[in-house]
Amino acid sequence: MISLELIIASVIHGILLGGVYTTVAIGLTLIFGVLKFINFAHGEFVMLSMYLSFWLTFLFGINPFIIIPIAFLIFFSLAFPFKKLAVDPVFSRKTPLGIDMSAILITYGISLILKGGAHLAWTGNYRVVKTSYSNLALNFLGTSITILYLLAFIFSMIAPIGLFIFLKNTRFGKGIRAITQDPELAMCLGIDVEKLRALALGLSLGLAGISGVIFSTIFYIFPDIGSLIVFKAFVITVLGGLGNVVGALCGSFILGVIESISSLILPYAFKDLISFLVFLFILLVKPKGLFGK
Amino acid sequence: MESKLLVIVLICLFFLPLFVNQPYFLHILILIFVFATLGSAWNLLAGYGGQISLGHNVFFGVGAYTSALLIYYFKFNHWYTLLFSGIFATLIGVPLLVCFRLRGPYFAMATLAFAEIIRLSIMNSEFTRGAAGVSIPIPPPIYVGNFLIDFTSKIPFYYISLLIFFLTTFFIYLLINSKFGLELLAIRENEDTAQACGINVFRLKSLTLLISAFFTGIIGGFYANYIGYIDPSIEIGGVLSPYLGLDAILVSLIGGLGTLTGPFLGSIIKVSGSEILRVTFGFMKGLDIVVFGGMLVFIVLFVPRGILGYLKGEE
Repeated sequence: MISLELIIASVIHGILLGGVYTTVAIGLTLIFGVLKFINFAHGEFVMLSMYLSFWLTFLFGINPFIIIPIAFLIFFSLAFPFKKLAVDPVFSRKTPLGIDMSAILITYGISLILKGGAHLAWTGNYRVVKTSYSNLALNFLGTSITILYLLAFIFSMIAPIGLFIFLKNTRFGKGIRAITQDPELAMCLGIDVEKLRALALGLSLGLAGISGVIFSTIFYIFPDIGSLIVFKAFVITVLGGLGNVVGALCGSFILGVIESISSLILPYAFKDLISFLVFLFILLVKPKGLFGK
Repeated sequence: MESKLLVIVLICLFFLPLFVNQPYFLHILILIFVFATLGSAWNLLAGYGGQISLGHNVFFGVGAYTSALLIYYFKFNHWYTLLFSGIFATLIGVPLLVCFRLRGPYFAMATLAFAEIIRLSIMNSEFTRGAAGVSIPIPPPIYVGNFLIDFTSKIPFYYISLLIFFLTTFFIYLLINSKFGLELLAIRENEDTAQACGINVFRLKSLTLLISAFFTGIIGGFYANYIGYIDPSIEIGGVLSPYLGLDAILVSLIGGLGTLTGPFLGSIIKVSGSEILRVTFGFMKGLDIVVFGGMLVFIVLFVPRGILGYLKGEE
C-alpha cells in the first residue's frame, strides 16, 4: 500500500527532480522568448555536454561539478557557429518555406546530425559518471536522498537565479527583455537586437551545457537522451507559459512532483504518458500557461 | 501537366512486373510506394496546410500495430485489418487536435513529443508485447476464380502498395482541387487572414490532420503485413521510430513541398539513397542519421522548393 512516508518521499524526490529540469527548461524558454523559435537541437547540446562531463571525469578524474563553468564557456561559444548556420539564414533571407518551417526543419536537422554523430563517436552504450561519493546518502524527513542528487539540485538552482538577476539588473538583461516583448520597438530605441540575440542564444546554449553536466551525475548518458530531455523541457515551458522564465521555474517543480507521484500510482507503461497528459490538459484549460494572462 | 505525367508513370508501373520480377527490385519499388504514400499524407498536412508534424511515425506505427495485433490476437483477415489500421491511426490523432492551440514550431514539437510518448507506452505495455515486437504470419493465399494469389511472392504486395499509393494520391488530388483545398492553402499562407475570411481554421486543420493520419495508418498496416515483424525500436527501421517521421519529411522536401508528384519523386531518391547507404556504410552506426540530418539542413538552406521547384525555376 501507499503509505504517507512513501508520498512524502516521492514529493521530495519530485522537487529535486524538478529542480534539475529547471536549467534546461530555462535555456529553452529564453530562446522562445527572444527568437520566437524552438531550438529542436537543444536536447542534443545537453547530450553533448553530458559526454563532455563523462570524458573529463573518466579521463582526468575531475569532479563533475567543477566542469560546470568549463561547459558553460564551451557551449556559450558554440552559439556563434550555431547562429551562423541555423539562425541567420532563417531570419535574414526570404525563404519560400517561411521562417517557422525553415527554423523547425534546420534545427531538427542539426539535432539529427549531433545525435548521429554521437552514435558514431561513442556508440549507443549507456554510460555513467562515477564519483567517490556516488553511494552516500543522507536522511531527511525519513527519506534517504543521495548526496549526488542533492548537489545536482543545488547546482541547478544557481543558474536560474543567476539568469534572473542578469535579466533584471543588467543593461544587457533589460535589452533581452525588451526584445522579448517587441523586437521592432526595441530596435527603434537603439538596442542592438542582433548582438543581444546572439547573447541570448549563447546564454541558452550555455545553460544547456550546465544542465548537461548536472544531468550526467544522476542520469545515464546515451546519444538518444537529448530528445527525452527536450520534451520534458518543452512540457515545462508550456506549463509555465512560453518565454516566461519564472513560469519555467515553477513548471519544473510541478512536473517533477507530478511525475514522481504518478510513478507511485500508475503502471510502468504510463510513466512517460503522464507528462504529456498534463501538457494536453494545460493546453485545453490554460493555453497561455499557468501564469499567463 | 504534373498529374498527367503521374498517370502515365502509374500505368507503366502497373505493367512493370510483367517484364521485371527480380524480388529485390520489386522490394525497392514496394518501399518506394510505401514512403511515397507516407510522404503524400504528410505533404497534405504540411505542404498544403502549412502544419508541420514531426511525429507522423505515430500514425504509421499505430496502423502497423493495429493490423499486427488484430491478426495476432483475433486472427482477422489480413487485408480487412488495413481499414482498422486507418481508423485507429485517425483515433490516435484526436488528442493531437488539442495541440492546434499551438502554432508553427510549438505544434511541431508537440507532435514529436506525442509520437515519442506513444512509442514508449507501446514499448512498456504487455498487450503490445513490449520490446519483443509482434510477428505477422504471411497472408494466406487467395483464390480469385481459378487464379491463385500467392503472398510468398512479392508481386501481390507490389500491386497492393501501388493501389494504396494511387488511391491516396487520387484522394489528395480531389481534395486539393476542391474548396477544401483552397481554404487549406489560405491557412498555409496566413492563418489570421484565413480566419478573418470566415474559414473555420480549427475544423479544417483538424480534418486535414485526421485524413493524413488515416492514410498513414493504412500504409503502416500494409507495411507490417509486408515486412512480417514489427517492434517499437527507436532505431531506423522501427515502425514507431522518429526517423520514420523524418522520412516522411525528407521524401516530400526532396521532391518539392506542396506538390502532388513531389513525394513520389522524393521517395525514389530517398529509398535508393538509403539502400546505397545501408549496403556500403551499414557498419557505421549513426552515419545514416547524420546524412539525413545534413540533407534536411542542406535542402532547407539551398533548395527549399525541392527538385520540382528547382526544375520549374524559382519565382
